[in-house]
Amino acid sequence: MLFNPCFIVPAYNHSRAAGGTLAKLAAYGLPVVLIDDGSDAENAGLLRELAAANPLVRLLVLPANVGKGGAVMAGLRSAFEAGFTHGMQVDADGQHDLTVLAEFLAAGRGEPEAMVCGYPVYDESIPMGRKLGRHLTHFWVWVETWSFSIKDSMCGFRLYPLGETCALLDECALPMRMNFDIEILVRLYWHRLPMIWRPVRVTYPADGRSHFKPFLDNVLISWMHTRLVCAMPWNLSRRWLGRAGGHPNPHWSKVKERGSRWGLAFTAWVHRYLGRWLALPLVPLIVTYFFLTGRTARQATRGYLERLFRFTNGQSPRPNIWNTYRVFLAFGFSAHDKLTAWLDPRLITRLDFPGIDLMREARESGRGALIIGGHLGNLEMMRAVAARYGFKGFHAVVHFAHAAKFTGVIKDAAPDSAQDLIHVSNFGPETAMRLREIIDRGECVVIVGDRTSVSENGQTVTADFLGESAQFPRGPFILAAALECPVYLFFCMRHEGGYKVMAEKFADRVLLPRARRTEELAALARRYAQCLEQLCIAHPLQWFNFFDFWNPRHAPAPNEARK
Amino acid sequence: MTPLRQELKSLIISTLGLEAVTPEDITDDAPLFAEGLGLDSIDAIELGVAIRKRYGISIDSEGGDPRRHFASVSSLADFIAAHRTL
Repeated sequence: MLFNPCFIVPAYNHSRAAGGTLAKLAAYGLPVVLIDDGSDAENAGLLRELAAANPLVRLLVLPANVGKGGAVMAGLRSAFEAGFTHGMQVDADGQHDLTVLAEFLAAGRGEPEAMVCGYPVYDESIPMGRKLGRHLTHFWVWVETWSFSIKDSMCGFRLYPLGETCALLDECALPMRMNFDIEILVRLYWHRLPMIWRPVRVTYPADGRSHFKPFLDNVLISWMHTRLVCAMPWNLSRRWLGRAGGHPNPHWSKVKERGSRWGLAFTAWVHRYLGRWLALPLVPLIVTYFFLTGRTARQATRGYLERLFRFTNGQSPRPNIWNTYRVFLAFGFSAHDKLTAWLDPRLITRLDFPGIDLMREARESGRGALIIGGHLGNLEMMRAVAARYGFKGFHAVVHFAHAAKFTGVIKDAAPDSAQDLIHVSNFGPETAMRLREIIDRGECVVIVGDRTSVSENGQTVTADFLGESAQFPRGPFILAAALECPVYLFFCMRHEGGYKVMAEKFADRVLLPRARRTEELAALARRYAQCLEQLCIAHPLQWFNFFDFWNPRHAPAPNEARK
Repeated sequence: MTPLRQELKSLIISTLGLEAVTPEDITDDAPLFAEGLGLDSIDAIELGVAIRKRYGISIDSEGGDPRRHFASVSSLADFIAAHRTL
């Protein structure tokens, strides 16, 4: 990215101070866009003279006084049209310490896609009223961004990347007065613009004039915060979602795990700072948002309900929009429980585990075990089970690229729990060696059996599932054979306000002789699918594969999709 | 050709049931996965487990990039020589 900066200097009757400011800027040898924001005749004349005397200064005269925000916007646009890539806003009144400019420009050159923002370091000259107002605004900006990453939103001393900034100016109407500095920063944050922070010393000049009108500007700032808080849920969720554009039916591994990224980060936050029970009422809100915006997931879920309805001859919930929503809702609550299971598994108190002896057997036989689960119910409840019964040595294999966000949340929140996760970005021989090592220690490996992986090159095994043929991964069964250990199926289903753990011994040893490998794999996949079918019938609303399970089209490369 | 490399080639062929391949067909430095022998992730599981079983290798999950050890027969032989316990 290019770096071709200029200075943006708004001035309203500050002609004397502007002279000093321009003289200091001249040291940098960069062009200056000086904006005369409708100054009176005397000051306008002085500004004209200043511009004429300095070949690097371009004067932009606004026909009437529009306010500082309006002047800066006019300057930013004009600079962008003139071909500059970055605009460094410097107030004409000389309140900022200009010796730090070199540092700001160097930071911008180093990271041209980022915005370099100043946060003020005050001396004693700040008026008390301004100080209080600043604290209030800090608070509201935290609320609006759900983050403490904006150190200061009022200091206009910033290096703007002009492309992103002008795109935002075209997109929405920003306020014209002092509140401009705050709103543009919050909105650029929502737009995921990276921000670099640098301190800048601020002095309120004793003889200088401030155009801050305490009553009017405080009312305008309050109104702006009201608007920003109202706009926050939509904009902030767009930020968290990365505004990801989708294409129909991508392979599941290419779909960003929206639930994890958004729901988990959000509920984790509420969990940690407001408490577990307060997070609960938020679940329907989050779920409704996903339901309304996630067309692919909605269609896929409905497709599942339709197949289940046919398969059970009409004995399962009707495939209508309400039941589709209920699946989403169940997923939302399961994400909430998932988090509880990670943060404090002992809080999951209602656990029904008829097959507890199977789990004990798996753990204590000394032969190790492979546990196959699925995206049906809530496999994370195994953590609660393990905590309750004091089981150790269960290692979950996690698709790294997909779950990076999730494990990030978990690592922050429960560093100890994250230790027994095995990250797999690409299942290679070294992964198999590590898993074999676990088995040799007599411990257990937990994987899911209903997600095919990209690295299998489409080598899947076909099995009937709910009356139609679907693709299942071969990996879990090949792994079962290679690990030479007993195989169990585990599913934790939400049931009567708690969880019910369904366990089944799948095989004592899986043998895959090469000659009959294809048939053996098909038979194993069908047995697994049968088990899923039984669970779907018993718990129809807990199918959490939000992609078209029967026709997963492999996703085109991202650049293809954009065409 | 070192005995270990020869042994490895036979192990690869027998583990993966590569019936049409002889040890002489596998070059020491040819990539095992993708192009070269064209092994896939399923083969990777079997090969990884077979090597662990045969040589008692224990790999440190945090240290370095284990993937490169499986690049070719020669890199695999070096890796095994350094880490074998059997």
